[in-house]
Amino acid sequence: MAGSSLTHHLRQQLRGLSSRRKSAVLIGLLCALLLVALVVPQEGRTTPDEYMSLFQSMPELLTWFQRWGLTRIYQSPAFATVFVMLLVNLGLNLWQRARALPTQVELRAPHLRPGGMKGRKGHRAIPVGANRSALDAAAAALDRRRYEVARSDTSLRALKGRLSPVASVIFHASLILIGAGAVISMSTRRAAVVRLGPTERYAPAELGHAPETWGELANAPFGEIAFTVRDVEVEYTERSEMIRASLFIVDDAGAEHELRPNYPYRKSGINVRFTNFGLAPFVTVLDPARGFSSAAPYKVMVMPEGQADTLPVPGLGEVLGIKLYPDHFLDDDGQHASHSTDLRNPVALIARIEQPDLPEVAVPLGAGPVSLGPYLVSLDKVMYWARIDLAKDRGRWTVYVGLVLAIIGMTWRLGVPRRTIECCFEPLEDGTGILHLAGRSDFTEEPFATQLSQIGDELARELAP
Amino acid sequence: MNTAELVIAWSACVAYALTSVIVIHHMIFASRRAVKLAMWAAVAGALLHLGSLVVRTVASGHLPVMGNYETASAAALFAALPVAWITLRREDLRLPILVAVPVIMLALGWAILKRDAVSPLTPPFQSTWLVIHVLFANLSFGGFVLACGGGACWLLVERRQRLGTTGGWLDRLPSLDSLDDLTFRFALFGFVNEAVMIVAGAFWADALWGKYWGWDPVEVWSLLNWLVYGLYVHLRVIHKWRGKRMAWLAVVSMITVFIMFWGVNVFESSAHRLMAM
Repeated sequence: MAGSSLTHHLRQQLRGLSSRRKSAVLIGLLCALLLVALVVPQEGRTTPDEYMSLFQSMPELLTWFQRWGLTRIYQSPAFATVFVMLLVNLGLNLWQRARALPTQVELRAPHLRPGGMKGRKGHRAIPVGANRSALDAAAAALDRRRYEVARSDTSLRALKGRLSPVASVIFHASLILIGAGAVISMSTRRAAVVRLGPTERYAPAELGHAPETWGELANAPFGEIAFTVRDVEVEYTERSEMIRASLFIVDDAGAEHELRPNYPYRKSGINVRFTNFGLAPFVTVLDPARGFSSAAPYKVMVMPEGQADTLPVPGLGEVLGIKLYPDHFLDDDGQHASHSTDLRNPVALIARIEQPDLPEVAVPLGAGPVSLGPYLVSLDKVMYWARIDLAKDRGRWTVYVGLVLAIIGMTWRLGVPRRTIECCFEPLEDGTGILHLAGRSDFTEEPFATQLSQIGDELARELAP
Repeated sequence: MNTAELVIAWSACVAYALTSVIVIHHMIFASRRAVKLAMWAAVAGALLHLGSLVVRTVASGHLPVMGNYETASAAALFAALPVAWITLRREDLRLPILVAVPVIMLALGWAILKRDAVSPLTPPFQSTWLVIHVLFANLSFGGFVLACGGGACWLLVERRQRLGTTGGWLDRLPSLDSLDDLTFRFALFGFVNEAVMIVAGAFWADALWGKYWGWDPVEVWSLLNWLVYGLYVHLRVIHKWRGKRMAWLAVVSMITVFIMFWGVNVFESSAHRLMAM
């Protein structure tokens, strides 16, 4: 007794979880959570400084948001709960649909009664006189319109889009696949960034060969891959508009690969992408008193232009401040500016960080040494470096397959609605007969209603007594 | 933006404005005069609009997919062309479909105000996925605008029937059932196209940013919008909702469409604006 009560209870719970009303409620809840994430500032989408500034401007409101976990919606238990419930709901729905599929796609000869046809939408009664082959004529008319027809002695059923329930199963399965892929991605994704200039090598497996930027790869070294940067090439139009940016790398087999934005290099499931570039100025610092010179290629980012960076000078115990303008000009206010990142007229502004009173000096490329306090500094060379993003995502292909299936399923199901037309012959006592015609289409009335009406007209003409 | 392009785009705007004035006049004074003029003005507007984007494409050497002007103008064109087509072919739908013209005019006007210089495609935009992404985004926008127009017409006709008033251009609208059907078909069209847009965007994002989904505001708004229309489809197909509730849903859902296409890029910091490099 207790066992059957438990089974009954479980069945009820299962039915509740799989209800399509619940699907609608869960989709609504997901929408609401996404809306909150779009309206409330999210910690993950702002820098700590921006978030602090927001916090200072509205401390009470943001504290309230934080208390309810609204500033980290995508990591919140509420979001996870709705996501999991939606997946469960989808899974159960899919199970129900898959079980019903064989019955739904089967086309069986019907045994219809005239009385049952009369109340239906689009019903039409066509007098056919003593013509006993009315059903044959109807079957032929439907066949001409590419309906699949099954008939018994007195009635027939014709279907178009018979397999469209399969599309529905594909669509719901694809959503589960996308959800599963997303979970795999979240739990297995590795990503790293490395900044390399020409001739620099990326080979985490080879110890002692690491440039300073490799520290960023501590948790995701991607030892499966190794390459050397050959060159970074950037092309501009006459108006300094960038039209091409390419990174050339040479793998360990000696093959060269060109990487461009949107066109990554893939190996061992790792995506190597060229995502950005900066400039590496080679600066020589000469201290005449000590007779010491130092050249330090250093990678700076010049977007936005003139962004301040630091230039450590080993041996001198000095850190210089540097701003680089690759396409230098003085604007209307006499301020330094750059037209673009094109290396047309590179000028570095160099200052001594520990001597803020000392004015910074402008050092054009190849113009010779310029005095900076006790030093002579010169800009000898400027070259591009590449920001390279590496990522390995095991859930990616699951999501891709899911996305493609979703489009196929959705387009098939919604684009090819299932249309059913049924006919039934009613013999009358006077020896004549009536052909009853009715039909329905999924989702929309038109253009099916027009087609049904045309079929009715055609049969009425053909079978007129 | 060169002078020829600007003149053509403004001419399109003027043609849309003329249509809008006639349509509004019809709505207020229930007059049937000048309906044909409104139709031809809308058609002329759509052709001029198309011409402005052709000039832009020739000048820039790429399809109009970059920057606020190009994307907004192209989206408006994808609503204008079906409007022009339907108004020429279906007399019964002429007036309801022309109701969408003021929206198209505003979209084009906003685009012209946001116009920028013609520029070549920068490396992040050099992707086939971008063309697919933008094309389907525009198709979905067109579908949603027309669904909104259909929903609005349904509500107007229903109110009229409830109050028992007759006369005027609303009498020429199709039946409530037909409008309901039409609204759903346009919404369905937008829904499927938006799905393709999101999928193409995911493929593009993976190639460009290294991840198919980044919770960027534009991405989240498009997902939200797709879910809203998914709910609309679900309620209609599974729960057999019809009539007033669906018409209101079609009209109100347009809010998320507008935010997704324009609002979010204006007010939010988004990777869709920066694009790296």
